[in-house]
Amino acid sequence: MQKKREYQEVIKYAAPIMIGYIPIAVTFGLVGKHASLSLLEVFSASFFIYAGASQFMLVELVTNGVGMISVAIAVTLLNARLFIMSTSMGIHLNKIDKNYVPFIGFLLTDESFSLFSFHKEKLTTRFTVALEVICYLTWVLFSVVGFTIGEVLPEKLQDAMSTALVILFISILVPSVKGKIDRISICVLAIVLYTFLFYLDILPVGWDIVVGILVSSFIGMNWVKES
Amino acid sequence: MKTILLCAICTSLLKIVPMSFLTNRHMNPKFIRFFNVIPYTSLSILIIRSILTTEGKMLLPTIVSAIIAAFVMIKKGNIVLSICSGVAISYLILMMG
Repeated sequence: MQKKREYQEVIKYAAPIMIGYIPIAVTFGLVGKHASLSLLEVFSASFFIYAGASQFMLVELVTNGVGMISVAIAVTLLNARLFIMSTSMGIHLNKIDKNYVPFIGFLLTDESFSLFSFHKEKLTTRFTVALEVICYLTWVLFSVVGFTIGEVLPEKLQDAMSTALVILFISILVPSVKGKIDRISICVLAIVLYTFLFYLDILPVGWDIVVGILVSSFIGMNWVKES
Repeated sequence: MKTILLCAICTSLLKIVPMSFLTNRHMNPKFIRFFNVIPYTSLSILIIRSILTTEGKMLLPTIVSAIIAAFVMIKKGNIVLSICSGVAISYLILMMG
């Protein structure tokens, strides 16, 4: 009975991420198909890489004939933020069975990191693994669905669905900063700093995110009031 | 396929190594404080990056749906409702024009 309640809880927390993933995964499947990737390649990208934005980058670079090493470097740079997220999450995993940590790490995404960061009490082995696996399977499954039947969807609906991820990020962030002026100030700082880096355009794609996160966190850590 | 597997190895290392190394270790409070701020900064940056890299016809739907989603979250606190209403607004704007 308790197990059932726990899994219902997992679904409750996973649902927003799944809803956010479905349209993006379908779009990835479609983009892969249009770029002449095979179904196996689309599946493998989602199954083995499992890092949304970098999968799109991979398809674009491969299609443009960029070499293997260059693609790997570009993807690694874009995903460098996951190194910071993994570090940030790692210090809060004291209730997790050590044997599962590599698996939990592999399944880490921007979205699961965001969710667990604001619900640290949920970081138990069973809950974390269950939530991450559900989201992972959703991503992989709907990448394949996108490849096979994605073209059936009207183009405007596909475009509208592409906004789902940014909406998901906002939906996770807003409740955690609501009424907290110190946290809102940190978010504004990060936005201003990143916008500056973006238009300055001197850092490679990916590094601008990493530098933005590190510098704004370093400045912002002194602004947080203990709660 | 080789490219996909190489990218998978690089990405997996980025995700697995720090987490495996830091789990159950005692940390300096300043270090913890720094990493506790990262969810706020990283999410803010991912949001603004999505908006800054949005092109042409998608810019208005993205901004309006983001505002609507934030409003729904503040008023109702329901993520699923927030995502659905954001995507629906985005679709409506695209249909209009």
